[in-house]
Amino acid sequence: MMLLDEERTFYDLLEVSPDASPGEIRSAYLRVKAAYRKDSVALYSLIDESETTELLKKIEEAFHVLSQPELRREYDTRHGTLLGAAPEPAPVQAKAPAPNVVSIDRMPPMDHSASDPSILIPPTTDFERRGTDLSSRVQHGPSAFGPAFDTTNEAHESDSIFNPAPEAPRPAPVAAPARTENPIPIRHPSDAFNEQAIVQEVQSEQEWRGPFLRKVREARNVPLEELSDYTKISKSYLIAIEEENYARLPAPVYLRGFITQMAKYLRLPHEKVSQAYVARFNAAMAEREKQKRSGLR
Amino acid sequence: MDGSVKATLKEGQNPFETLTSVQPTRVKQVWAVGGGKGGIGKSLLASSLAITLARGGNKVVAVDLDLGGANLHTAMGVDLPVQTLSDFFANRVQNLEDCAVPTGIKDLQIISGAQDAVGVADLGHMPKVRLLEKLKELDADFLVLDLGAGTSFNTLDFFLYADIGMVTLLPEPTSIENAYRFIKSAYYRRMSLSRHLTPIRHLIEMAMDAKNPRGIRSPADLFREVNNYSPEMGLRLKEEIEKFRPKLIVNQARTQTDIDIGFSVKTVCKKYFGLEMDYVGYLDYDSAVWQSVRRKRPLLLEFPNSKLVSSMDRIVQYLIKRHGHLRTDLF
Repeated sequence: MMLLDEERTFYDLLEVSPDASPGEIRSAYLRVKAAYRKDSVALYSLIDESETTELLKKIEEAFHVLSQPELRREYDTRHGTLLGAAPEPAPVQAKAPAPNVVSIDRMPPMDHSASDPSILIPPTTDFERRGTDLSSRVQHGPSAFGPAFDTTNEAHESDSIFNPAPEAPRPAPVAAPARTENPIPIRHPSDAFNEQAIVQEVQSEQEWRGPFLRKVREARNVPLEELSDYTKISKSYLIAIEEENYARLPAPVYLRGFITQMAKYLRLPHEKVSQAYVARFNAAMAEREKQKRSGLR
Repeated sequence: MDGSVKATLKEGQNPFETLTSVQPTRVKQVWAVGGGKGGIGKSLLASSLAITLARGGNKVVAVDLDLGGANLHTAMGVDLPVQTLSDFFANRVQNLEDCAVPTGIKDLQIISGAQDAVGVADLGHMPKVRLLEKLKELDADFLVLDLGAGTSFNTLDFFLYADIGMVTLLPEPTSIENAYRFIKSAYYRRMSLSRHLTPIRHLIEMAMDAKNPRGIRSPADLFREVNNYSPEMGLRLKEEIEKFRPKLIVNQARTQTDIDIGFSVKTVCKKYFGLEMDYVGYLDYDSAVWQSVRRKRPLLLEFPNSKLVSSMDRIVQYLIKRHGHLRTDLF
């Protein structure tokens, strides 16, 4: 084994804390999986394929277990990773990683110097607190990432997120830069925050046009390759569907199947999606037929 | 000032380590921009960070530590100062302050790197230590160090000296390869300099040599060797690794995939090195950059409406908020 970070639990593997929500687990899974994807440029010169194959297998296993409440509970009980609900004599495994488990993602290092080092500190995820202005964020273009860097005027509402405990001696560098904005950490597109935003849109969507399907796909961080692998539909068809490029689409009976597959993988109401899409397609084809005929006359 | 002393003491485990830092220093925090490869925007990033900090009301000195290839002054839009670090090393100036020249931006000065002097590029240990000592005494809140390409010990030491060390990379294989090489070199260098790890220094130095007899090829190999040597040292090694937290910035991002590379690199580094990196931000690819470079004007001033301006603000805010209290205890 060439890798240093021997993850102790499935949670470590997915880089989440044991009390992560299902949404957090899913987004972490997508993020970690993307890092080890075959064509991931981030592996270049450091980690070779035999190791990533092994890792990807473990990641799938971890997600398989943690994404199902029943299996997850069982796993937590067995490994003592469930906070509070841990069985009385806490298993040794749970104890061991505790002092070092606090990552910088969650707390600045000084913060836990004052507190009991053996206490597992849950991550402070900012999106939960910032869910108020979803609607305004959603409109920021097709990039699912847009909202993450969106600047808002909610003055210092999220200050406490990164600040160490106030009593920590901290020679704070004097003034912040002139343009006061919230320091928003970069959010991965698969982050549950974006998921929330897209869910709202999905609920009110009627037309299910190609660009919207693409938006959902991107928000859920599903690359075309992955979608193509799963649905067994060639990428060129997927692209044509997303672009509403009717000339390149197959007959309605196939198209309906394609859309259904796509929608299923993207976790959309597939019946509604295929119905709306195919109806639009049929209307457009009929229109074209009509024009052709009138042209002939 | 009191705060800074206490913070140093609190973070330093070994009282010996803090001896040198017990004297309150004027400078609050040192930031360094590195990344291994040339042409990835280190000078642009360093100058933009410095300008952003200065505009926020901090006193800033930008220091060009690309010894032998200095061009931070150009990115800042100033002519090569008469007095540079060459003069400091050659003892032609009395004080380092004499090398700091105004940039035309309020509260921002620049110390330019040596351009000429042969031999300065491979600076000895003593002049380097003297420089680092004098840097901390400068009349500034922040120092922003622009590092050269490559992984020479000097560059690595300047990087490790900083409280916040930023690794810059472009979303392309060559740059990522060099970024990993840089991180790996800085990583081993840091371990070999750590006083806590003196008993295993020979193993760390062995790991730095790619063709070492014990076949230590990766941090995991080193960790295994160290554990064989002494489990306690293994634990200490792990602690030292956890203290090293470089920051990551992706430059010239054109697509979402480019932006995501930062997350992937972070995950891969955790796995391979056991490092907790913080992906602090990305900068979009922007054609305004080369235009401003050609005009020899700082980007932030030449194109105040560029998206890069707000990206820089965000990165700086984030760094201060989240890492503004950090103190390195290595030097």
